[in-house]
Amino acid sequence: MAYSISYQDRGTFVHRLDPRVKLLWWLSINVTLTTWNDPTFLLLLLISVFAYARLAGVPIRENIRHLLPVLPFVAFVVVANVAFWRPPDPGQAHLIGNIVGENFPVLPKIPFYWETLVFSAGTLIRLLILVLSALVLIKTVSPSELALAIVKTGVPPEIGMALSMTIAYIPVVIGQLTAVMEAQQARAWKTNVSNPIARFRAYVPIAVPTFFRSFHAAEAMASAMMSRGFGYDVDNRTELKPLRFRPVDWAVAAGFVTFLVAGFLVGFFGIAKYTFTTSLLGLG
Amino acid sequence: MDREAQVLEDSGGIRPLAYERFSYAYRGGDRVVSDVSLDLEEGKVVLLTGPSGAGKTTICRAANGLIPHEFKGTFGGRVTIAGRYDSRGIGVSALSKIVGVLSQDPETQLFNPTVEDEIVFGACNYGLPADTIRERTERLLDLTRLGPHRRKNPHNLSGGQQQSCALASILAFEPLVLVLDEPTSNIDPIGSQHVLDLVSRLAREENRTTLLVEHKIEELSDLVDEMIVINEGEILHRGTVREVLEHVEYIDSVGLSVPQVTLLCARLRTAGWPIEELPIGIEEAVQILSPLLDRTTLSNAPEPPPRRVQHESDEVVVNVQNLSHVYQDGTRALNDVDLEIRRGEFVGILGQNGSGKTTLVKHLNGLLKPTKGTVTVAGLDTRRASIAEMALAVGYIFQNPDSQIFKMKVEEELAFGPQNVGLSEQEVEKRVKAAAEDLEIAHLLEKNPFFLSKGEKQRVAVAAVMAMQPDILVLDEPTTGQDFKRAKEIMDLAVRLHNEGQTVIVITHDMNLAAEYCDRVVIMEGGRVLLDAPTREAFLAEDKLKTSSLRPPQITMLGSALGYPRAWLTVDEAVETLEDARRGAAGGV
Repeated sequence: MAYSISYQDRGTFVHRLDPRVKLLWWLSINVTLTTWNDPTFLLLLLISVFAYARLAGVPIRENIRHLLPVLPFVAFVVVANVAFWRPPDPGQAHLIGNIVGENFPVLPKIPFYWETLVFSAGTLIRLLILVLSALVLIKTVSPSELALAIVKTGVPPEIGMALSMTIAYIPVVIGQLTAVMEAQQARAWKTNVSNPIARFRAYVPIAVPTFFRSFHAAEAMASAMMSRGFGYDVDNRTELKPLRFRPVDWAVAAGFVTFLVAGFLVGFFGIAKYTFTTSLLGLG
Repeated sequence: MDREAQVLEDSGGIRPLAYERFSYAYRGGDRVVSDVSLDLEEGKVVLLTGPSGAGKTTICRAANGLIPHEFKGTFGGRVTIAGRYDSRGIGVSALSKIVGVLSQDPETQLFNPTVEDEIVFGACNYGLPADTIRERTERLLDLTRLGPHRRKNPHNLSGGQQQSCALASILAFEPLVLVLDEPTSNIDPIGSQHVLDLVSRLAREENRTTLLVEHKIEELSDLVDEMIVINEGEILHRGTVREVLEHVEYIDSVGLSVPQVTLLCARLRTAGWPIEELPIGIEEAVQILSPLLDRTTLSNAPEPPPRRVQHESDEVVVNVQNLSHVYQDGTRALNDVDLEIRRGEFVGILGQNGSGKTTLVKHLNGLLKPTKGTVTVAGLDTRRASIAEMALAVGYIFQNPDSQIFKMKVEEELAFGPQNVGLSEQEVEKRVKAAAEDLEIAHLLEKNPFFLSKGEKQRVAVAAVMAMQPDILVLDEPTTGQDFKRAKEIMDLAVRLHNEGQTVIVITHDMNLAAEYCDRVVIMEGGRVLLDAPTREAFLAEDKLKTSSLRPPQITMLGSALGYPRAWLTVDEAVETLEDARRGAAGGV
């Protein structure tokens, strides 16, 4: 798994695009994401990310598999949403019931509305898009291309290189994580406990060794990079494949810019607000 | 171009790399290198060897300024590069243009998405002309035979190919000096020979000064100009390989793997045999020993007796039937494997990198599930057994103890497994105590494992597994990244447990280790079992071993060359047989 979450030259149309165009795609998705909170709109956006990934030769099943590990985190955020998010006007909202009743000791009453459910569904999809779009970007832009693309946008070369190396480091950390999980599983480590606090604690045997091993790996990788001239004379670094925008890059970039502007406006004018779906459900 | 870059533009000159009374202590630690002076001559290949903790890596790190710039501590003496640059005054990236340093772990050395990107990375950083880089890359791809893999992710290559790729990535910017820190530590014997031959060829053809840190003296004896043995931060011996190996018995005693034929002849000489000069290779040994032996006695010599307790049990504890495994990415790692292991056996699973040996063994404790076929361990079908049941059946000792240590006290670390399987508090306490005593770490129980030495951590990791009292003990590549002495410590422990009835399975490509410890070997090749036989029998099947990129230990090959019809597995066995077959001895002529 470790090295399937890294750039692989699959030779597709997407892989041949200029890395700046691919960065623009990622940006358009993520800017749009911040302005939308309606689950229907967001679901369409999620489907578009899967479609883009498919076009880049990344199978849907592979993407789903890579999303599985983040589900506990996503579930935690959704539960927090359900517990704490209230519609702006609770008087007008549609109550399903109370998660915690009025007479429950210590805890205050926690009502649960249809609006909360719809909004939380939007949050869930939003998080999935956030993670998936980052994964697809990593799989379709090589770290060195990414560094170059970032530098071309005016960012100092050191920052560009550091970012690209951070991405290159991801599979190393995943490799460490896999090794640690196997070692603890061999000592009957398990997480299938019902209490959420106990479940959180159950991950300590994984988190601690992974942290230490990754720390050592980062140190070794940094030494290896410096031992190959990283940061030696960044202004005069040789670029073997200088970036050049082709007509097709311009065309695709124009499409993404249009989507970015349109998506932002749709969000800005409140069209992609969660009330769109509540209306569809007849709750408006 | 900055000042450092300009300074290093002209780096040609005499004394490519010189250490003058170099000493170093990492921050908060004791001195690891003391008063070391080395002067590498142009075009020479120098082998630096010594046990773990001897200070070899520290010397490598000082070559391109990683010490003192990146690793903080107390620096003494001076390291001079290209006869004029003091390592303390110039940064690592700049010095690396002259001294290319390759560290031992390929996983952290390879960070680019393709082999080609990996090779050009350094050359691009140093701003070499694009055409020159392209030309060199093609040459290096050709030289390392990585041409067909140029678009692959380096992490998807075999161990040998990874090391070749890492080496090519340094050679691409043509440093004046190459410093290689154990470049073959993760590779099978034939892969490692390929890398070492490549290093030596480059040194000869391109007159490149090379400092090579290695444990594999046997493979290197013909390839290096000078050999230096270091222990506890100080130089013990230096000279030509032949001169240094005159002290072979002492070098063996500090825990280094030495050429077996040299050690054999040294022992025979000590026993009074008229041997003037110690041999390094098999041919030399045959020339020296042949006139001193009675061939008839040797050819009729009996097979050496079993080396330790043989448990005669009929109970099958591991039963693998028609096992195939295909990974999610479609890689078929195992193909219709059948294997039976009986209680109390000491079995080695051998094979080159990627032969399927680790995949096979990970089926034994349920880390992997069969794609096809069945695996039954201690009566449990691994497809249905719970994690707790499998953990009690199979104790798996991983290469790196840092993969499992997470508690703040050794005692808690040892209790983790038994607690997970739901044992009572008293039982957990009893097992922790027993495992600690077995591994001789009872005095460490209150200590924080993160502050222990690597050897102690390894013992804690083994004790943590032994506290589960598993039916079967699996050791995964105990020699990887360790010197012979440390690997031997782990294996000696396995022998102790085996004597008490433990079933032991070792995954390795170290043939000397397999010969010394395993009673039976299973040789894997391309996801299949190529050979499954008693060790002595298997090591005589040279052709089959070669198919799996393995070769018998030097001592076994010497036996065959001298006309001994069976197989010696250790130097001790050879000494015993030869003493009987010596001309003029009781059994000889």
